[in-house]
Amino acid sequence: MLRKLHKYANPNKFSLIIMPIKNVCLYTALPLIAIGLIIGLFFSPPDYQQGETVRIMYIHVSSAWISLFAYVLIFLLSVFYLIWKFPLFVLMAKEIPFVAIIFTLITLITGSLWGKPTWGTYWVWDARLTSFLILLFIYLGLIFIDKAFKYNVNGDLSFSYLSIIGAINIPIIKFSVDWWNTLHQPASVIRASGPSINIEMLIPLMIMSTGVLLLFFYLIFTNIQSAIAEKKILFLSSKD
Amino acid sequence: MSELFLIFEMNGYGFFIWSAYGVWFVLLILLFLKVLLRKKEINRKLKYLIEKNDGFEE
Repeated sequence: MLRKLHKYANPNKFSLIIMPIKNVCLYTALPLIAIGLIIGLFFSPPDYQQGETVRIMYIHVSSAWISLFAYVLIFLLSVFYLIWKFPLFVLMAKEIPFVAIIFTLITLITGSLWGKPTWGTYWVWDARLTSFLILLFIYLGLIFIDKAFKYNVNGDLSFSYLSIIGAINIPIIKFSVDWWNTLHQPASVIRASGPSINIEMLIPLMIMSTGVLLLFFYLIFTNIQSAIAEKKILFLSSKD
Repeated sequence: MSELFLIFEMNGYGFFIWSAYGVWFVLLILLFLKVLLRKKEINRKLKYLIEKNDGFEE
């Protein structure tokens, strides 16, 4: 199994493989996001408690899911890198934090704008909000490590170790609303007893989340191709 | 006209909803541009180096 995967570990081959996938992601993501936006903004019903402000959910929740998913991806790629030492794993992992930090920032800003009319304040130091802010700082740390140790094996190892240590924050974010008393509402979609959210709100949320996920993959794949090309530039420059 | 106003007013929550969507849109566009411009710049450099090295070998 692992031997079969070896041929895909060649960065040039990998770059060629992801080219068509990347385009499919973009051309599927854009219509899905457009449909999600139209349904979410104009056709989904207002919430019985939160009223029209619930429409912020379609961008807030989808971005939050991407922020968490991106970290899980970085964690897995770092673990794979430390086990199998394929440089492609860490190269891929290093391209994720910059994209993920923007989604984390979107989550925090849109959450803040949702919090003011719902809770009466833009920010509270409660468990969910604080742990999400820590996620933003972890992403910043990963970006700084990448910039500080560019093209260095020690940098790759530091990046992998930090991402594994930082992964402790992911279950804290997920379960913070169950473990502590917070202003933030508990999970209403991803929970053991099934979604409690109204189907008319769940559909645009799922459409939007799928669209944003595909857009995320498009951006990551483009970044990975750029990083592979950057390595080629380094190699060609060293020949001069 | 009044229907359009109602859509943008969102029962008095228009500022929060449209600001959130505005921030979301602007940040995603900036991210998109950053990723594409990086790719374009790297491809330009790579093309230049490949042409330069080919010429060198000849």
